[in-house]
Amino acid sequence: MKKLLKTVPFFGLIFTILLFGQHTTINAQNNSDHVFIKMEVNGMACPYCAYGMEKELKKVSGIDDVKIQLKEGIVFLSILKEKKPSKENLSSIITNAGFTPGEIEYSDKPYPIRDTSKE
Amino acid sequence: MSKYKLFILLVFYITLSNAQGPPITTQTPVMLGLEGSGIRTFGKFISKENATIYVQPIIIPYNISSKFQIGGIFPFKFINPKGTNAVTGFSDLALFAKYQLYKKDGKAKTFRILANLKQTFPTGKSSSMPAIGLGLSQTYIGLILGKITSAIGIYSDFGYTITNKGATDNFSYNFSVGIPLLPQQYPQKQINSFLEFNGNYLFDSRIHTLFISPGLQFIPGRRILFETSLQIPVLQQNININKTNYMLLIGTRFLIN
Repeated sequence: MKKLLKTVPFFGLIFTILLFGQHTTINAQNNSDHVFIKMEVNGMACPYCAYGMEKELKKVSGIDDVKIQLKEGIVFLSILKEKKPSKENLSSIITNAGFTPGEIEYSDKPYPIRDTSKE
Repeated sequence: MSKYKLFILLVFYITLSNAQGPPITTQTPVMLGLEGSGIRTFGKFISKENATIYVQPIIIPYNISSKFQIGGIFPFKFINPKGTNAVTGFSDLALFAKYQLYKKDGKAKTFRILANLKQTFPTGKSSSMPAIGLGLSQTYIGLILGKITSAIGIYSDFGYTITNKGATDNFSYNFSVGIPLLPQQYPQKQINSFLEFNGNYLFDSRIHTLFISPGLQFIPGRRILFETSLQIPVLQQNININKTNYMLLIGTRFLIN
């Protein structure tokens, strides 16, 4: 019984390490496949404007995640590296959606996105 | 309600303003999201001294581009006059076009001006008593203006209606300020409150009407909203019979694609 009590926490620890280790690896694989984009979208001043922007971006093949920070007028998105759009393409999408493009940045790592749902 | 009280109420409301959804009885210069490809319908119950009227229009816009929108308005009308039989049927069909004349965008703010053209056709039955349609062609030419920021949204539209067959032309004007009751973020559940003013002036008969229209709007998600507005008369100049008691609007807007 004593042996069992010693063994359970040990295996529990191993299991936890494996679980979190695997999770990190999955994220790392995803991150390495994707490019992260931060775009300033001027004129996006209301939630129903934001929907128009989101809808246009989701038409682009490969874009799988769009997050919008309305108060800052910023759109975050991720796309497979092989499908990375140029700044000109992104500016064109923003213009066609009815807004004015601002600064556009690329990153290999996800941008920290502030959770505004509790503000 | 005195003009002074109205002014105080408006200043108080604007001071409280934070952000907004699309206005209810005023038009918006933003032709995106629910305003771009959403179908809008509402039931409007009009209580008059000698009749009650129910109007149910369906408004379908279509964006040719981000600057140019066309659409149609298909109204259904039910009139129940006191002392005679009720009349019901489709009223006058209207087609409209909106074109963005000016846009100035900034970080979480925009100012836009649209030209608005609306042609109403006499498709509604005008031989019935009371008439469902006006029996007239009407051409409306107007402007829609809006300044929307994350702190405040102010909307206005106004225009001149040219009427055929020698009937009186009219000038209509609307003004709106909106306040969100929940923090502005996306996507989110939103509850917005509105204070709107709806005016109309008929040139020949010099009839001037002005309504104050408080309203509420609930947006549960990206694709649908619900709204209601109560229009209370503050001015009914040169109207002696069949004045309007109030108008109640309950409606929805939803996206189909």
